Amino acid sequence: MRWLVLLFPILSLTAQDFKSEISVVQFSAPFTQDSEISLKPFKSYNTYTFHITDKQEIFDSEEIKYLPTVILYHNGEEIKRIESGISLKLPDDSVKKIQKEIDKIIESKF
Amino acid sequence: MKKLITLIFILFAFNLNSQVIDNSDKFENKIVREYKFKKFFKNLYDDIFKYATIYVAGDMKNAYETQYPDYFIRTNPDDLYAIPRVEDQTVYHPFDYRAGFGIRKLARFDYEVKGNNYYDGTENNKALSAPTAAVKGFEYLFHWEKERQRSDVFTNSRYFLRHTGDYHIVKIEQREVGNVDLKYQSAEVRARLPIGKKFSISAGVIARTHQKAFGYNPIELWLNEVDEDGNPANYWYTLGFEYGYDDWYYASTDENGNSFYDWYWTNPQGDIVAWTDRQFRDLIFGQLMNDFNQQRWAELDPFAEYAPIVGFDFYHYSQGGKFWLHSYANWILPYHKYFKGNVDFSYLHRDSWGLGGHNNLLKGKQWSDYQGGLIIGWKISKTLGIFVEGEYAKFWDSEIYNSSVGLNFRL
Repeated sequence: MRWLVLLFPILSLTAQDFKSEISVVQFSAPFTQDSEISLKPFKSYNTYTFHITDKQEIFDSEEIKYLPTVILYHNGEEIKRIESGISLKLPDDSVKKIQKEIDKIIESKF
Repeated sequence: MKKLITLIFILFAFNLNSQVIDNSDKFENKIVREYKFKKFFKNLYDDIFKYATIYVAGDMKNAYETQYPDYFIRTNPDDLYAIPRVEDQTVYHPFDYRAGFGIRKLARFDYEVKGNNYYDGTENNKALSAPTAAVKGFEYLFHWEKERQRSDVFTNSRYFLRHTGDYHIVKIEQREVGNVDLKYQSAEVRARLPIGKKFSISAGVIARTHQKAFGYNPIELWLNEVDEDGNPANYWYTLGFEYGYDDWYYASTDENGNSFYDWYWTNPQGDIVAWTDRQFRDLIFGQLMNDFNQQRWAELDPFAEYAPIVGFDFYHYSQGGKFWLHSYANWILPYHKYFKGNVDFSYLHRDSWGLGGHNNLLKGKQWSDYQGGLIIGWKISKTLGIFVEGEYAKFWDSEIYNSSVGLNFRL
């Protein structure tokens, strides 16, 4: 039982929480805030918006090349990446594309 | 005149404009209403029916057969020394079957594997026992089936409905398992507090039913009843009379001159079923005691009680499914309050019964119920994996253990 109690905080600390379960993460910067998409449609899942000024190391580890970029994770695995490209604008159907992938994940659970 | 024309023009223009705006508003409202109407039903469908499966399923298999047939010999009563007839007494049951239908929307946790390509009603998802769910929103199972086992036909059903949110859990469940005569209903409402993404605690209230009258043994009380002189009020053999059996005195003397006596017993049809009292007690009396108890227990209404419940749930599933840990526990606190059924016969008064009946001076004894589960899977390498699953529940005086362990090494 003691090892189990110890395991809880260890797991909590080591796991990359922003990639757990179904997570929609927007990587952005203060100067690209106008180009960000609203993550409200995904409020049932984990949503995060990181700015490069605050979380540089995550941008490096996730190899973010364009701002903004939206990535859908499922249990730590990258499922879908939507990048703005040099136009600094995310595609209009970004939300639709992410929702489609989420639907596939949810469907696989039933 | 010019002013009048101007005024009419303005009024006309005003009326015309107002007319256009009014129509436009009506048109817009109609579109909005239609949109809201469609959206409402789409949301309703998405929340309740999306990913649900309606199924009709069943199975059929050979019934249990004894390894060797049973035989007995039938003797001619008019000629005890004639060659007896050997008869096959083996019980041959018709095939067993199970046929049912249902609708289900239960999400599997990531570590759970879908057993078949189809649902047949025998699935036992963790969603039914874990306090939280793999997905938020509605989950349900409505299953009904008819089953035949060794010629006995039962009805089984399970109705389960749960809504899970970030901060709440609401659950209603009803279960009936015919072959063990289990009928169980529960409803619970809990507030949930997520701590981080993997851990949550919850607290609320749960209402449950039970049918068994704990501690109350009618036949024991009946047999131990005494009159004012301290003699048994109900002699054991009078139970046989209650069920239509009768005893007949007889005496005989053997060839050595020893005389003895006893009573032989006949059933309600007049057939001899036992040659002595002892034989009657060995062969018949046990079943009569069971029948007596069943009848007395059946006279009692089912019991229902509510109590506070607390619990926790921890779920971790690592990238690529290399490691997972799911543990949960529920504790129903010892503050049970009965709101249906005669409380004197309930589990609260399980220790209030003695040979003289219920001790009305006792106020009952509270108790705790528990339920917990632990599922661990660790794929140490591509070829080696360890899996442990265990579940324990203590509800009233029933304890249920369920565990499995696996060490897999793929060559």
